[in-house]
Amino acid sequence: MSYQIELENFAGPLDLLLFFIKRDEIDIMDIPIAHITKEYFDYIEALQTLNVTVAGDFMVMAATLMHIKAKMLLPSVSEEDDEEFEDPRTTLIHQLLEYQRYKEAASNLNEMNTLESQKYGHSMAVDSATMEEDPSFYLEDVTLFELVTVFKKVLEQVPPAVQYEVHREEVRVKEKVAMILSRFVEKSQIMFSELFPKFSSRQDVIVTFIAVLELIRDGQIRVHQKKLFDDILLERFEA
Amino acid sequence: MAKKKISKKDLRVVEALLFASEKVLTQAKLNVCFDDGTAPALPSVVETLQKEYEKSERAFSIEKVAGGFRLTTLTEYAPWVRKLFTRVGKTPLSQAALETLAVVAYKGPASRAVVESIRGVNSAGVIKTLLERKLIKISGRAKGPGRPLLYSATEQFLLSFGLNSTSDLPKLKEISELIAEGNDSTGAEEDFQPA
Repeated sequence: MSYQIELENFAGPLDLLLFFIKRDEIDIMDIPIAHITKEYFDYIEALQTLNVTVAGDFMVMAATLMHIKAKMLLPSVSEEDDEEFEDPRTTLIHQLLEYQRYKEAASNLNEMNTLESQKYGHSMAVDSATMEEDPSFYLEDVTLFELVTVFKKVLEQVPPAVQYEVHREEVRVKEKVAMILSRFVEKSQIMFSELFPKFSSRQDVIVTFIAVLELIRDGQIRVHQKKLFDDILLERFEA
Repeated sequence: MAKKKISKKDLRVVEALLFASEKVLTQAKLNVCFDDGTAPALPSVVETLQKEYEKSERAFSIEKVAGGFRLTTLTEYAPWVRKLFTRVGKTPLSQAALETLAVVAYKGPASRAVVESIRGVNSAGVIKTLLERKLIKISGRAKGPGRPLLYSATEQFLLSFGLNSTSDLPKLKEISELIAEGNDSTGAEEDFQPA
């Protein structure tokens, strides 16, 4: 019976400990540390026999458990002074209780999402068959994170700097701003990638990026993105 | 505001706006539509409309979410609607992602270290996933050593989980109680339905 080790997926060492506590109906405030430590090590061992790399966080908890176990075996230095004595398990218990609250909150969130996803409304429901067809339908607000991600991609495309180059061209943000705005004379929308010609220098790319940020800040253009990691669409914002 | 009687026209105007709105309808947007400053109080109009819909047993209702209102179909019709449409904001998330999201939503703005101290496990990958899904955003830096990035829940989070604001999240204590009740009766889920 005791050899029946569950090889479920646990979200972390605390999750695993909570599983033992629930399964063995242990009082969380009075954890039998020797028992729990044994269960914990059995589990990790089983993982290792299956050639599963045990993540560092699981090993940290193993060390913590051993530390607590050792502390509990040692006689307390000031046994008569009860107030001074702190149960070595206290920190772990607090951690477990805190984690348990958020674990419950997480499963509660899941239910809320399931419930919410059963409600359909304007622009929340997309015809499943035509999901990929119209790009403008999918424009979402672009976050800083995405802008930086695309910027990183652009940087990677820039060829490595040539060593013998001695002079460099000065590129000014002001000029770039004017350049970008002049592009909007012909078109109302420009793709972010179009702003970067194939052989532009690193400095050129950076200044162009800063110019785009400036324009967004000044409310002169707006940015949209079709989907994650996709190219970003710049649009002249008419006040 | 409650004393002013809502005219029939106001009622239908708000209904039209709710129907046409792509995003949630807010009082600020409503005020724009009544440029002479006679815009009715949105919450009370919504309440009246809501009663109408309930009385006539419509297939939709008005949902209070992310600081505004929107029309959505009732959950009981999802089995049919979902055959034709994919719901934007339906987000199947792993347990790790949900836990991380819970910490950020309840404790946010929170740094990665805060998330990891509660979860007891490295959360860098999960945070990246949540950023990509726009459920959390970088909202600044902490003042402490290293000035770590802070994360907060987004409007997309509110929309996907049917919340008006993060302060409407059920209290952490309440959740334990609800779960305890849920084990006794099966109808406990209905308590989570947003008003």
